[in-house]
Amino acid sequence: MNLRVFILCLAVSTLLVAGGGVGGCKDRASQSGATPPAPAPVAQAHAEGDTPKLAQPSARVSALLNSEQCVATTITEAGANHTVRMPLAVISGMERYDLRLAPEPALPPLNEPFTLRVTITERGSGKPVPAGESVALGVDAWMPEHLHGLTARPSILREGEGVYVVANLLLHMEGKWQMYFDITNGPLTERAQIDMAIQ
Amino acid sequence: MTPPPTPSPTPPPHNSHSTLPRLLSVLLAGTLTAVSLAQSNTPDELHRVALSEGELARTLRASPVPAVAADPTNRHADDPAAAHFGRWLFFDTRLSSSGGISCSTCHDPAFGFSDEKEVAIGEGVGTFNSPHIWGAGHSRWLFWDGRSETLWNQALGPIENTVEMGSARTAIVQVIARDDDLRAAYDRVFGPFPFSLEEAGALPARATPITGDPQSMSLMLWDMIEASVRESINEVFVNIGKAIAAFERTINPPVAPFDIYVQGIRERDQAKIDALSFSAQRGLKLFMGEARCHFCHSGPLFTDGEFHNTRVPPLDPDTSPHEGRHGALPKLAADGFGAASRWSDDPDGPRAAITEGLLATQELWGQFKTPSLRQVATTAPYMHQGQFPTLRRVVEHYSTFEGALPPGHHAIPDPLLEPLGLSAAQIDDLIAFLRSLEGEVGEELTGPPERPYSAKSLLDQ
Repeated sequence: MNLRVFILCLAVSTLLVAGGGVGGCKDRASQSGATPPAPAPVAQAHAEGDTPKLAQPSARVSALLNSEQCVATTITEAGANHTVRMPLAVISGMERYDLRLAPEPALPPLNEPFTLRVTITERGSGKPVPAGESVALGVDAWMPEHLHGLTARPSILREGEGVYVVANLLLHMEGKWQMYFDITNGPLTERAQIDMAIQ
Repeated sequence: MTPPPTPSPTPPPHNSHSTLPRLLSVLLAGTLTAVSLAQSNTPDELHRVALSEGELARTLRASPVPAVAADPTNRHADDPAAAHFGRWLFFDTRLSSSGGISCSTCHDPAFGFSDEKEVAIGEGVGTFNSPHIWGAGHSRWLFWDGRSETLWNQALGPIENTVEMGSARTAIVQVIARDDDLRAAYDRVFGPFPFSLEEAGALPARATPITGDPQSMSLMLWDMIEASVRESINEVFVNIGKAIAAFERTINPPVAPFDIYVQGIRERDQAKIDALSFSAQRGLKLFMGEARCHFCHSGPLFTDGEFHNTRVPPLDPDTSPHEGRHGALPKLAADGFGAASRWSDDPDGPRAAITEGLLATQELWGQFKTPSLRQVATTAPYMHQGQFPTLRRVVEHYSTFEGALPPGHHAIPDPLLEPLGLSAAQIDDLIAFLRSLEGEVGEELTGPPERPYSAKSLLDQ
């Protein structure tokens, strides 16, 4: 997928999901486990030259989306005849949570079940979202070009504090998928969303 | 489709064909279509129709057909003795109420494991076309609407369906009890057959819990049988399904010209690439590219194994379109022989988990399973009710959608389904490609073995 298009899609979709709120990707430091720093200054983001030209997202969105982790990762494997392009980290729509995504196997298969390990931390403190009856994760996916979603609901198990194992994810068709992560904590549900492509 | 951007250089030398026929074929094909006869605009300088990066990746994904994956829900799935017994049962007409219908009546090896009929005709007239069963061991879902999720579970359905084989599980117990060879085969695979001849003879001949009618005589007779005996009857019945499934897992598509062609690409072997005519290669390019067939007919079985509404009208225009996949989900949930049932050998495994996670969404209405296109040229007529008699008619459907169900009528069709507007030459090319998916069938699949058990299996005992 064209990088610019991807960034644009993500900007639009996160705005929609958050109902006008702000969402985006996190930076590389937080992916490696360090405490996430504050969003990059707007000026610096623009200096990197990756600001989408077709849409005019707010400066803050631009800053988030231009942080390094906003770029979807292309996952490949020697001998495999398909690739997957997806971000391995995302920020929820209202910026309360950081999510790190680890597919197992590392290259998600086409039309075969796979597992996604989702680690959720509070964006401000970096602490894992505490386990408890009031915290839950929901996962769903949709193919916007085909107007259909998953054929089966994945099973979701909490492995530890803030760590969820999403099993039996089945992307049965090549193309673009949107994947939704709904984090419910008490009365509030907040969504994080990624665009991914399997081809 | 566009011609190569630059004139093609001289074809590279190759070792197994003379140059003249090749030149002639190049000239002819180039004259006819003026399309991508890219002798060498590919890095490997091979003489073939050029494929884009995506088309090539999809092509490589589609071959070879892998070995059938393990089925932990059936512990006998890969037992050769079970497959041998299952092969016998597959062709045994005694499993039907009239004694005249077997699995092979509708899944006839002579017709690509289908039956040349629009809808199946067994003890009665069915609703759907008999699907071919090439590669059935790879299927995530069975039947056109996917109302079964394991091969052994699927094999049991037709035996007791009144319009298919019309039998009952007690009758199956009796058939085995009365035939020493069947008993010997059963004992070899599953352990001692749980009924003596006398015990089996005392059972009501037509008793089964499978009926939609609570007043059914077969249900009343079933309820009168002692619970522990019912358990043994079910055990035999399930094992019969598992043996038939073990045989069906061996009905794996043979190597086809398309597979030889893919080998040729991988090995840079021009002679193997030549297994596909240029017409078939152009058809392949369309299939994997502009014609969008690959979205659903993906992977080595040429199916995603899932369900789609492709706007095919019902065979009888006076009937409403069938609900398809939408109607299958309650049946899956209620199936006593499901992947999560106690009759499964892996009730907590991934097969059971996916079945339990099914989503009953509105778009399921009118959807049917994408059929595998392996051996497709031998399996006419096509579609879930055999609506289309030829491959040409199928391709024309996707080209024009003339006479198709209107979008949004009873269903939400995939927006991919816009008319392709193919030329006559492109239709010919697609058909040539579809024909290249047919390989030669081994004799071991074309009929029953001499006996229900093999001599080797007795020696092993």
